[in-house]
Amino acid sequence: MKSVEQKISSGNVLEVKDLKTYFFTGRGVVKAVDGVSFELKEGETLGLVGESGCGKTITCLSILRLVPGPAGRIVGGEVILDGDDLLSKSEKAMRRIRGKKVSMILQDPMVSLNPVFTIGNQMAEPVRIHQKLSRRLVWEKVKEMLRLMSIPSPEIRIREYPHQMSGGMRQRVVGGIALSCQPRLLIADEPTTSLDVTIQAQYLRLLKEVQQKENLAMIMVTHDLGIVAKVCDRVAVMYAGKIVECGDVREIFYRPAHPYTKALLGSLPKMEERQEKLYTIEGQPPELHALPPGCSFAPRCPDVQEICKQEYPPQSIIKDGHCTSCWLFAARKA
Amino acid sequence: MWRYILKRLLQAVICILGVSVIVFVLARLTGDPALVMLGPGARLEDILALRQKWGLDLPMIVQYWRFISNAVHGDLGLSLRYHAPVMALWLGRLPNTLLLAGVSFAIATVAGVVGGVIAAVKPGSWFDRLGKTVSFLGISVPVFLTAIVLIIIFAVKLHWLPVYGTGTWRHLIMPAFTLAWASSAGQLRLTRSAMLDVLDAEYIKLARVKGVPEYKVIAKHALKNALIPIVTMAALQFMVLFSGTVIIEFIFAWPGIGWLAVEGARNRDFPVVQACALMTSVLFIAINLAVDMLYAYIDPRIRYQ
Amino acid sequence: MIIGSLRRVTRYASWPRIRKSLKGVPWFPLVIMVLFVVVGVFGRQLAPHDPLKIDIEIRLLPLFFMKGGSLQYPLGTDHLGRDVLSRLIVGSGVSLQVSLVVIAVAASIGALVAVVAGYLGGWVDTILMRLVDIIMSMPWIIIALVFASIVGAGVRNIIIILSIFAWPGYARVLRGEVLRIKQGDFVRLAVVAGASKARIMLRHIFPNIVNTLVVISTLQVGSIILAEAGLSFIGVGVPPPRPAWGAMAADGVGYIFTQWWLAVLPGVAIVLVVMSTNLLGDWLRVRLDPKFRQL
Repeated sequence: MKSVEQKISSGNVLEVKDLKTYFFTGRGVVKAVDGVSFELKEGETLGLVGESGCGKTITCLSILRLVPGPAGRIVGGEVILDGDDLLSKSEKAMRRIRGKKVSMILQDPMVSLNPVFTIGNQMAEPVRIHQKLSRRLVWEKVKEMLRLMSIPSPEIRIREYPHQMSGGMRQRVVGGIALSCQPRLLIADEPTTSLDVTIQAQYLRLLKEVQQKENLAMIMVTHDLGIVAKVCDRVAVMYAGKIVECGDVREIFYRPAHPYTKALLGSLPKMEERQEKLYTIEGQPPELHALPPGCSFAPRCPDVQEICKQEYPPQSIIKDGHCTSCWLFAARKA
Repeated sequence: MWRYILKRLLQAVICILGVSVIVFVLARLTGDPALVMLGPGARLEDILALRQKWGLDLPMIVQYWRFISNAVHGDLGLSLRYHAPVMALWLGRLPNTLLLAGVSFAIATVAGVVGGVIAAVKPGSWFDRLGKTVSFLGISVPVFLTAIVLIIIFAVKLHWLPVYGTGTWRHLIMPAFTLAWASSAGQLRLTRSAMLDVLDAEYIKLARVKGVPEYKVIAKHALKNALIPIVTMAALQFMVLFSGTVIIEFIFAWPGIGWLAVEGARNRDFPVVQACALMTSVLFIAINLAVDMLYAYIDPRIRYQ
Repeated sequence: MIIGSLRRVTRYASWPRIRKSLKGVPWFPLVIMVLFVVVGVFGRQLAPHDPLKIDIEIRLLPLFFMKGGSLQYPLGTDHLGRDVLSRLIVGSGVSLQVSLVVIAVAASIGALVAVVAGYLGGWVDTILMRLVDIIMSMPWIIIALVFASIVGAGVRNIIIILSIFAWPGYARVLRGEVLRIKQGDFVRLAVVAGASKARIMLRHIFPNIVNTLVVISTLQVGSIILAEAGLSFIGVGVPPPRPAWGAMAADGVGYIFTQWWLAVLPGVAIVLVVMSTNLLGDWLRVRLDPKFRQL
């Protein structure tokens, strides 16, 4: 009962609270996701941004409880979908959620479709698993999804194999698979990185259209700030397993607070002003199994202070819905 | 698809011709069949007459042509020992060998593939280690030792199974098990590494994201892909199994073509061994072709070339 | 890497370093292998009795701890009264000889074909690799029988037959290596520097396949010993009276109801040696060729 009330009051599709996913390796514990929190409303798109290896993908896999074991384990936190905590569900109950309430689009369409089954077979699979439909209706549904993803002549395509399609087409098929059971939440893990630039824009427009039509909540994982600007409502910037800044897309772009966000934005080449030199962030992202104490970004930070090296900064609210974890702002407040 | 089949067919024909050339050259270079036939004390006229009768005085290429065209018509000569057409001898023994090899191959493949899949799903588990040990022993123990130990235990000491011969299914147990163990080792190792590769693939992740139950992820999505390298190697595995068959038939007095060939070689009955070599190669090549077709069935990328 | 590590050893040979490089060496197989080689080479000198001396008076003596056994013939005597221990010792020589010669021949042909086919490519590659395919799809044991039916049993024939069927395996694996190495910058550099094809193959390509060559060779010893034993077992391998493990096991099969050890002992000797070479080969593979670790 309480959960229903919560659902109504917060209006959030997804709430992730203090999520921690660690990898227990021979070289030590890797804190891939270390206390991540965010929430997502219906029809809203959250951009999850950061360099590769900062824990974006593992955060998404943790939501689906598909962290690669046995080394990887979710060690703490809550993932609340429509008021239900996914982390306390059984594996069997989880399977009924994957592909139905939460779907995911994987990075590389060239390898994410199974080469030995037809497109139709692979698209029909989630429909068959999650909805009790007759054979004919399943096929109707598959064709409908292909049309939704603007794939021409679906009757022919369903009998084809992945290797007969281009990368852009395959990614549309993967999108169709993800959307086939009307999910509440769609996670897109760098869905366009391996596509041609022209196809990228097309695909993003398509995703956006479908999202608006179905009123989906979406997490867009990317390292491309251009994509964020185009499709996201809010942005969460991740660094070394933690969210360092979170806020509206306009806020983040025009008034970035965290030095890392500033650096990320600074490294975008700008059209208006001719830059002599591309801005880069000095140094490498830290090794996650040997994190320094204090703020992980401190070794690379231009505004580093003594306290940054000793203690992790608390979260400070800059404006309604815009918060960051940085001593620059915590200090101001204090 | 048709180009693929045609290419494989052509390869098969070349392969059969290759074997026939080797057999023919070996036969002609190492001795005069007329001399071998008549023995060292033969008279010159007899030798010359026999040479003419067999066409041994003709040029090599003509002799080879005759040999091949006779072979195509099913005439591979007479056994020196039994004075019977060798083709008939070979065909008479074929069913026994097919039974033994077929049963062993089926056991080996099922055990190897199932074991390999389980080992790959839980790498490092006790089952994985057990599988590794059993398959390691399988490739390190000569088949005749396995056979001898089995005979000592189950036939000599316990009297559960007949020592040798053929006729009932009880005769089949020991030879089939011996062969299956030796050749399942390769299947297991191959399946395990193929499955480990496939289970890492993105499409497996996608299947899990879709909510596919884990058993189906393994049995449907992973296994069909892992079968591609397994099937590719199956013909080779069958060959390994066949060389074991020759030895096993000899130990268990199993009247198949392996035993026929061994007897032929021990008695210097060249036509018999020659027929066994040629016909067995043809058999292998037929199996190879069948495997290639199966391969095309599993992998659509081949089918739509 | 082998050449390199030899160089490193001679340059920095010191006890802690040597001890470190010996870490993880599989001792048991290594000891068995050394024993196999020593016994194989000096078998005649080490054997307590003449392995060929027939003495019907003492035929079929049992093992030393059984009733009627004697320490003079610790492993008993065979059906002709020959000492089993001496025959096992001398029999190792055949296995050693056959496997070493076959490996040497097959590795040389295989490496040559791989380097030439892989580096030159084109029709040379096509023809050589088709030949490899054809040989690999032939039933080797039957061809060995054909050979034996014409010229009879003999060590030389075994070596010829096994060499013919062993080199394609080398050629196939090594060619893959060559194709990979060919793409390396140092090869391109040599081409730009004007090195001749023969020089590139010999000085730049070949040294880079030596590791793989050693690994395959070690793993091959076992299968060649098994093949030789199999041929001797069915009576077309090493001709009597020369002792060979496979033939001894075959002789013993006739006495399986009463003197079972006659057939089992030679088999156990084969298992020990083959297992050791396989273990050593696996260890070498992991040490020298990290990309094979998966297999």
